[in-house]
Amino acid sequence: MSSHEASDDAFRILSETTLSESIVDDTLFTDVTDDGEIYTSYRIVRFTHVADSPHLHWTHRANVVGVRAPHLGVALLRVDNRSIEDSRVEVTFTQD
Amino acid sequence: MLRLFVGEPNPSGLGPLITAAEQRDDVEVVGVGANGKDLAHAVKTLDINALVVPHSWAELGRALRITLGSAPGTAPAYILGADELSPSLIVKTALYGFDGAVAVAADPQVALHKIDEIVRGERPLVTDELLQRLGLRHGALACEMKFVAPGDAEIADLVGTGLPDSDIAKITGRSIQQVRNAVERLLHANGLAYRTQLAVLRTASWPVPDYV
Repeated sequence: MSSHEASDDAFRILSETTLSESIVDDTLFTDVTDDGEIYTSYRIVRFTHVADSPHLHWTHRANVVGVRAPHLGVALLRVDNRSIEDSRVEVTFTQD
Repeated sequence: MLRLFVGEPNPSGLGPLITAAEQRDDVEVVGVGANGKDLAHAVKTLDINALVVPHSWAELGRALRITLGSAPGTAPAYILGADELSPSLIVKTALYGFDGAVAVAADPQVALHKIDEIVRGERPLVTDELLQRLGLRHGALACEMKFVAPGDAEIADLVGTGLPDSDIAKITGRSIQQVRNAVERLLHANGLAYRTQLAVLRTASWPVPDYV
């Protein structure tokens, strides 16, 4: 498994009372896809998991909602210094 | 009466169109322009239905749109004349804010008929299936850039120099999250679909002083 992949046992569940603001300065982030061309902004609803090891690429999992479009999704995030450095979002629900 | 102003660099493929227009009573070539200043003067002062420019002047047509602040669908119609039309030319024509494109080489009389249809709004580019499928906005690259938040212009400038977000973050002292959020904000505010379009718009969306 590469360092950019994430297995369930690499994360532990965070308390539902964990405030997003305790992990990042800004819950708004932009996911970049399609060879760096498509920018899609999301807002973190709640951090759900944190990585067990500091050596993994993805440090957190979170539930997210689209800012411009009614998307719900799950994001793998790399948080460093209270900023989101990298993301991979899987959209789980889209209302067209 | 269809009243045209034609951009005619030397050499140009629009000569046959001018010749065909001279053979008709319902079409008048009001003038022929040799440079951008001529075209700007024609659009601002002459009573014309359409400005027709050759493919090689597509950038000039876009610059006129930006400088004169006219949007697709307003008079006069901006029309690109090319030897042949292709899907790539149609996409470029639409992004550059032209109202239509015509193939001149095969039959200039047919081209004149199509110009008349474009002027009457019967051949809108925005209904082109390919554009709709790609989610591209008519005239997206033919307008002055809009900024939403302080610092957006600086980000756009650096995107326009071809730098990646990571380098822009280092240069501006922002986090990469802040840079990406700003790029997304700029894309949305300007109706753009792709980051490269933002770079193109930033480097090209300024009024040409000589055309004002």
